[in-house]
Amino acid sequence: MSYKDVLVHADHAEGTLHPDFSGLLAAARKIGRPVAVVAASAEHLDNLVEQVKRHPVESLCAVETPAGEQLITSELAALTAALDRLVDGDAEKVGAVLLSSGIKCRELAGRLAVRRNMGLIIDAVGLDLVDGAVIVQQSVLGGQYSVASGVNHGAPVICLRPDSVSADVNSPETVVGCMVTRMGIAVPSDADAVVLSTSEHRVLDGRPELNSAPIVIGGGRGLNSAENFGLVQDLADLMGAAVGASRAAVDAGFCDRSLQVGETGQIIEPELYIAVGISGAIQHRVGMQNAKKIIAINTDANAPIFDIADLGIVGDAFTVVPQLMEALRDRAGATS
Amino acid sequence: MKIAVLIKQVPDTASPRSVDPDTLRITRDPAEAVIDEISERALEKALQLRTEHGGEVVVVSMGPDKAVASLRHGLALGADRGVHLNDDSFAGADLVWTATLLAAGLSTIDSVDLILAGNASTDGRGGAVPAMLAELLQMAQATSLQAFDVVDGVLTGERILEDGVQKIQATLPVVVSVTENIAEPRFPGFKGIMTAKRKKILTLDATSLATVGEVDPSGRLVGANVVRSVIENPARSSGEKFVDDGLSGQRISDYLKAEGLV
Repeated sequence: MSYKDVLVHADHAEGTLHPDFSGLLAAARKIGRPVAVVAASAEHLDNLVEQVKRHPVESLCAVETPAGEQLITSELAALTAALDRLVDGDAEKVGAVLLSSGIKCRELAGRLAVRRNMGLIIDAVGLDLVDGAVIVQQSVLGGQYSVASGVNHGAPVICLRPDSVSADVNSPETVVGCMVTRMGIAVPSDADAVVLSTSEHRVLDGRPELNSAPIVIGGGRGLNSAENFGLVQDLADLMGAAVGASRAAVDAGFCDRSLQVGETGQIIEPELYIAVGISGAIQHRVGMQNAKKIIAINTDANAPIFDIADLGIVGDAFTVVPQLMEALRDRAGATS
Repeated sequence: MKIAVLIKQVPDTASPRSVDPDTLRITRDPAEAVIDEISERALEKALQLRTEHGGEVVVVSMGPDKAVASLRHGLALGADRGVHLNDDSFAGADLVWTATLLAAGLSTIDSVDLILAGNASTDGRGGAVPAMLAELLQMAQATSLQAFDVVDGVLTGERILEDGVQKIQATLPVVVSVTENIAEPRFPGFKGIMTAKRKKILTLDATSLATVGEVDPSGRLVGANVVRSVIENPARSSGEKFVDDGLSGQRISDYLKAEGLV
């Protein structure tokens, strides 16, 4: 059984390498020999090559994309060109293509799978090589089931959820030299949208990202108003946590919809989730029940959130949360 | 303007959902099957566009016999006709095969201007099918839109990504996927439900799909993804529950300390 090449997509935003890249590399190393691919315009490419080379990767394909504002087809053409170069007439040489699970990356993965007639697995939470075959773990129906699957034909295109593989697993500290191959592609003739402008988000206010924060404080309808929702934000700021919300809180206008956790919002798996004034409808639970630890604060002793909470407090959030913040401040004061 | 809206019937997220241990697929029967809410929102946007521009709204769904209920629901809300992709061989289709079959079905609708879909379903959650349709149908993709307008054959919209918002533009025809913010779905009225019964639903099976559509599904991978095993995770159990006695803040703080979380 030979060790195959695994093409690893190095995503970036305006020339800054995406932090998921190191986790993708570590995952790729579990199943083969990582070959990174970065696609960028001439303006950013040199800088990105340097950023990639700081990671433990022996081989990098740097594809210069033509100037222009195509939504996706330039990057897709670059990725396809890098894959074709790696395959070089022998599909057996490539073990998998790995991408992150962001919105654009899923789309790139899907289109690449269609374009090159490959299998596609999205939302992977783990990867293994079993008897030479790539086996992918997924968590489905809100974490109720763990599924292991593979493809029965060629190499899979896989989108991996962030933090699924910790970056230090099997990774050498440093790599002796990274071989950089440069390529260029022509402007693709495929129909595409153009990007007129890009604006940064929105309501994070310096807090960590909801989908990767180790601690998330979730607020629900029990907070009663947008003004009171500030209680959750205050606790999050004290703990360095991200803010989430139930659908009921979002629908009631307490906060931005981008904070919604649940079946129709984000599915998160933080180390700690503190549910404040959240009843725990199934719609919400499937979004957060895979948190390692759950603490719930709710006035209703029968709220379903208590069924999955490691620690439950039946009480008024407006009493309990300030107490908690005081206790945390005291502790910080005592140890500093 | 001719608009096709992809409708997906999914197991109700409010009812217990399960994976069949024999087929290793999500149980589609007898779980309560409902139209996915994001499909209703996409359809609402399509109906608004029809009001503005005139034209026709076609609802398209792939699924077993009972998916007809979701198509009828779409017709009751105001869609003009339906297309149902239904064949035993379609069951358990993976993402690539699903996109291929949908593209074949959509290609039977002449001169479509817009194909509208939700950004991701509540069961599979892949979020890649609309982009794959754009690839298969050689149309532009305008995906993850929270708002858009069409003026003189050009779509302009706001694309929501994890870390930003892009303003994008595309010339029709376009494959569009929408986020929850796109529109609030309406409820079907009595008149809508009655007229829906007279509206036509065209059923296409594997054989007719191969001959009618401009996209030929043959030669594509069928069922490339193979599920090896499914393990049901143990239900999460609850820990200790206390009624607030004025010491809850300290209790939580102690717990966080004991668990190494602060």
